[in-house]
Amino acid sequence: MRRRNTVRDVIIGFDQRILLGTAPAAVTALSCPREAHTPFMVARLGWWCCSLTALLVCGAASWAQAPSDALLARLQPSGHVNDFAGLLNQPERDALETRLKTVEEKTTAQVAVVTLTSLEGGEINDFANRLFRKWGIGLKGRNNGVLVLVAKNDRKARVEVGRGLEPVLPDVLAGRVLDDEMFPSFKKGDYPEGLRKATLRIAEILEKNEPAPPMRAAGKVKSPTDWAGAIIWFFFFGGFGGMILGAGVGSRSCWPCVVGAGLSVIGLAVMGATLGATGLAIGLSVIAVAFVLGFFAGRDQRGKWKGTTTRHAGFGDWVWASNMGSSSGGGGFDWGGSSGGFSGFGGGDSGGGGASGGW
Amino acid sequence: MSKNIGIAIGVLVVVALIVLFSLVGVYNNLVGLREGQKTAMAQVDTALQRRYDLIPNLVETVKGFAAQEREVLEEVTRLRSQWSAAATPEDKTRSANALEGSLGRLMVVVEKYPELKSNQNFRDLQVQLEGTENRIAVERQRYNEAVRNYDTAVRRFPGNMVGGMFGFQPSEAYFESDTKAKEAPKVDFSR
Repeated sequence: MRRRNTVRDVIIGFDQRILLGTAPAAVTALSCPREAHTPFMVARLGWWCCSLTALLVCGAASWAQAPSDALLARLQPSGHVNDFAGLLNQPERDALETRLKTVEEKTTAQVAVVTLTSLEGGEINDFANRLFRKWGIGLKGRNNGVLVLVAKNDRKARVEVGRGLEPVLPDVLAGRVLDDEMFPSFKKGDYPEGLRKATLRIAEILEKNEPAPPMRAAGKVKSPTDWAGAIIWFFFFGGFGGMILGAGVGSRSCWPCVVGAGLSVIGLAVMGATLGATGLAIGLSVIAVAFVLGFFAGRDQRGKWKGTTTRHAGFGDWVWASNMGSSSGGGGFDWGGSSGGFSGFGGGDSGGGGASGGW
Repeated sequence: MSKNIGIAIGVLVVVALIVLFSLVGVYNNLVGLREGQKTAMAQVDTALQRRYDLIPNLVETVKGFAAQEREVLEEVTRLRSQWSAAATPEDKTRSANALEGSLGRLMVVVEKYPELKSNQNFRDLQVQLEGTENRIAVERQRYNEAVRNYDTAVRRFPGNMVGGMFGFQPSEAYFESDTKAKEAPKVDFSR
């Protein structure tokens, strides 16, 4: 997910630069609105006033940030248990973390336990939902996450349930976890006990009800649009690039080789980033075909351009060319494998299910 | 010389294609955002439907303990059927808001009946009702986000060009009751 976005962002950024490059007035107007004093620029600016208004409104909105929004922006998960309020000691925290890891291994469901000192004026239901979305608790597509949020000084807690777990942990059951497990201990001031009981109860409910349907590398499942998009981009960059490269090699000219190789790399990067190894394999074969086509066209061209007799490509040329083609695919691309430790949640979503209450 | 011209043409073709593809991308993005807005609206309706389904059960349970509160019970029932009969989106929003208010009143009335409040079935219904209200709030908020994303994309730089070419209009169809839904007098079930 993250990888694909990065590549797409790069491409989009690239396009926009080119687009903007064709409209220099637009670049000036967009990048330095305050310096637009001359009548000429003002006239130009009129055309862009809508976009500027939108930008300014966005800017103003991001400045006017409530304390709870700032808090939300600050929070980063460091594991299943995120004890920001410091209600647990190390062994207690580790015990819960281990338990929740087991749940994830067995059922793929992700449970996050979060304690806060205060919501900083936020409303618990709203805050929980936004935190859930921001962290993406649960796997993408399955939305099988649960967030247990405790705000100590507000004396409020919420169990927010991802859409995918609503049948397993309905609101009523989530409410009972709070009323029967968590709040009795909280009322006595025993936060670790309340958190432990509530977490264990949720773990039990999830394990009992959700069998572990083995899902291959969830979160990496590609929708048809991803495929289509990647292939279109690829045929553009990779196919074109391969052809130019082939033409360059065939005609023994330097420029097309460089341009073609560059385009091929971009094409392969798009394919690899979106579709992984399969994408690379498809990409390489298409580039190879395009290369052969380009090669013969370029060789003919060379004959015409240089006015010499057509020289048949030797085996050596072909080897050199195919090496160049394949080495272009390996160029320093980050496969983004997750290294040890906590690698973040899976991108799940919640539609506001669950229950909340105070003690 | 002619080789250079060939390269120049090639580069121009590449640039033209890149521009074309990015325009296609912008267009597709706008279409996606417009569809996203429709999906978000449908989600709001689903959440409202959930509340609608919950009401008969709630009314029956309250009747069992507080049959004399006929007025508010009837009002809730009446507004419920009004909501399902509403044809236009405006009517739907209006009756949904009226229903929200009348449910709030019902919950205040209920405070007078300790037996009802301690009834497990009723407590479960309360939790469900609260969950439903929260879902409605979440979906309304997301609908507004979808509208904002679309409107921003239509007004911003590449979008305003492509949008102008293909007739994309800013929708401005924000959920009127969004702020109200957020600040709606919360029924406090905790005491």
